[in-house]
Amino acid sequence: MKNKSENLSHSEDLLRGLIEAVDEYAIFALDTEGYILTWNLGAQKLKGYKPEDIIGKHFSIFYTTEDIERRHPQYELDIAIRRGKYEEEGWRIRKDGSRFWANVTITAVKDENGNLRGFGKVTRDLSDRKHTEEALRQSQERYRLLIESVQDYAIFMLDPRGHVTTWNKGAERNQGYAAEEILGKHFSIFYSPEDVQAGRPDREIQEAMKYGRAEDEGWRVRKDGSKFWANVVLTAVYDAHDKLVGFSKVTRNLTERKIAEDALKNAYAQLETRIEERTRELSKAKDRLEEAVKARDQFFSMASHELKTPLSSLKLQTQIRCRNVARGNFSDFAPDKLLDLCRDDEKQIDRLAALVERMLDISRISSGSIDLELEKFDLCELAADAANQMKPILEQSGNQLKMSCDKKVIGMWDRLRLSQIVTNLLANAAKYAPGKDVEIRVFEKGGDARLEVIDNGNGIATTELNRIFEPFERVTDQTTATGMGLGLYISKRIAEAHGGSIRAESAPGKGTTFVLDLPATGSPV
Amino acid sequence: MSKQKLILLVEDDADIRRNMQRLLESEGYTVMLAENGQVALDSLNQAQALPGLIILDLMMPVMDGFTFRTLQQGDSRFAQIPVAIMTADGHLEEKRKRIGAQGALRKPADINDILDVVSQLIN
Repeated sequence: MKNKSENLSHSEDLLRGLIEAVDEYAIFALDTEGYILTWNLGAQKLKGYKPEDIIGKHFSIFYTTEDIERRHPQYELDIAIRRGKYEEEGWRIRKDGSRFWANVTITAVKDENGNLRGFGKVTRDLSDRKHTEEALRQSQERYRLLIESVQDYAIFMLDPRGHVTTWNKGAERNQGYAAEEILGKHFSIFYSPEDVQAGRPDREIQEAMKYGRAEDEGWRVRKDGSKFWANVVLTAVYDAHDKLVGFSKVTRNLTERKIAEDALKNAYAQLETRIEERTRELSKAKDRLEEAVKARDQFFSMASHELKTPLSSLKLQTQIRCRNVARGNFSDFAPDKLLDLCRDDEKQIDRLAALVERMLDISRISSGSIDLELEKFDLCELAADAANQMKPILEQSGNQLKMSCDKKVIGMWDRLRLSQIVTNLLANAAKYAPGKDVEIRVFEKGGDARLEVIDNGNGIATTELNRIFEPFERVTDQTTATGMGLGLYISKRIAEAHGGSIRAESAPGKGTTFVLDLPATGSPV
Repeated sequence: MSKQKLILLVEDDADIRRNMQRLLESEGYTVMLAENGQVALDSLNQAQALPGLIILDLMMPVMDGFTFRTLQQGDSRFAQIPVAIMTADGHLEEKRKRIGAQGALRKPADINDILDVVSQLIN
C-alpha cells in the first residue's frame, strides 16, 4: 500500500512538473469558487501574468466586460459541474489588455464521493497566423459562395475603370449574361445608348468615388435588349492601403414595383381627372339647380301677381255690393243690373280659373313631355280662330290685324296647343307693339307649314333673340311687362313637341317676326 | 266739382279700372282713367284741371309706374300732386319709399283702406 502510495505521489510530481512545463497550453486549476490555484508556463506565456500576480485571483479576470456582465464565467462553471466539462471558443483578455481568440476547456474535478473539489482549465490560443489565414480563407470562400448563390440580387465587382470582374447567379439571372460572356466588359453595356451618351455610367462611378457610394434608379438593358427597372447601389472598395480596387455593384430588379407604381400613379391621375370632371359636372348641376330654384321663385312671384289682378276686381265688386246693401242703396240691384253683376263675378272667376289652369299647364310642360292630341286641320283656319279670340285685346292695344293665307295648309297637329302659340304671339304683339299693324302669314314651305307673326314694333336686339325663349325672360324691363314671362318658352316647347321649331327675326326699330315651322305630319319627336 | 275732388287712376287692368271708378264715384270723386304711364302723362298735359291725387299701378305695359313717377316729379306742373301706389308686388313699403309716393295700397285692396288713403291724401 505504502509502496503504491509512494509511486502514486511520484507520478503526481511528474505530472505536475510536466503540466508546469507545457508552454503551448495554459493549464491551471481553479477552486470550487473559480479562484486560481495553480499557474503553468503556458498560462504565463499566453496571458502574460506571473504566478505571483494571478494565483488567488478569480478566473473571470480573463474575460471581456461583456462576458462578465452576462455572468458568462459562472455559466461556464455551472455547465462544467453539471456535465463534467465545458468547452467553447471565444475572446479572452491578456494582462496587457489585448484580446486573443481562445479555445477553452473547463473540467470539473470531483472526489470519489462526487463532491466538487475544483476545476481544471486548459486554454489554447487559436489566433496564430496559420489558423487565422485558414479561417479567413474559409470565411472568404463562404462569402464568395454566399454572394454567388444569391439569385434575387445581381451582385458583382467592377475594376476601378468599370470593367466587370465578378458575376453572381442573380446577375446572370437578371441581366441574362453568363459569367464568361460578361467578365472584362465595361458595365455601360447595361445602359441604354441614350443613358451612355448622357454619361450616366461615368457619373455613377464619379459619384461613388467622391462619396463612397452612389445610388440610382432607372431602366437598364438585358442581354436580349429588353429593359428592366433597376435600383443600383455602387460602392467604392478600397484595400488596406486606401487604394481603390474597384466597385461593388448591387442591382435589384424593381420592374414589377415600378410597373405597379406607374399603374398606381396612372390610376391616381385618372382618378384626379375624373374627380375634376365630376366636380365640374356637379358645379354645373348646382348652377342648373340654382337657376331652377330661381326660376321657380320667379314663377311663384309672377303667378301670385297675376292671380291678384282678378282677385282685386272680385274683392272690389263684392265689397262695393256689401257696402251698398249695408247702406240700403239698392239701385245697383235693379233687375236690369243684377245680370251685369253676375257676369262681372263670372268673368273674374273665369280669369282666375284660366290662370290656375295655365299654371298647371306650365308646371306640366316644364317638368315633362307634352301629350299632343293630333288631328287633321287647316293652319289658316286655326290662325283665324285665334286671331278672332284675341280681337278684344288687339283692339284695346290699337293693333290692326291682317291675315295673309292664300290657300289651305293642312297637317296633323294639336289644335289647342297651336292655338296657344298663336294667341301667345298675338298677345306679345299687343303688349310690345301697341298701335302697330300686325300681320299673320300662313303658307307652305318645302312641304312643311310655316306661320309668321309680324308686329312692326320696336324690335328686339339680335343678342336677345335666343334669350327670349328661355323661361321668365322678357324683352324689355320687367316692370313694363305683365304676364309670367313663360309664353315664348311654352310656345317653343309646343313647337318642339311637334317636331318643329320657333324663332324670332328682328332688329331694333324694324319690328319682330316670329317664325313657327311645323312638319306637315306633326309627328312628335 | 272742385279740383281737389279729381283723381287720376293709372291701371292697366280694365276691370280693376272699372271697379275702382265705381267705388270712387260713389264717394263723390271724379275719376280720370289711364291704362299706362304714357296715357296718364298725356291726360295730365291735356287736363283742364289737375287731379288732387294719382293712384298708380306699378307694372304696366308701354310705361310703368316708376317711369311715370320720375317724369311726373320732373315736371314742375305735376310734381306736387300726391301719389298712392297700388300694386300686387311684395315689399310694398320699400317700393313706396323708392318711388317717393305718399301712400300705398296692396292688391287686392280693401275698399275701406282705399277710401282712407284717398281721403287722407286728397285733403
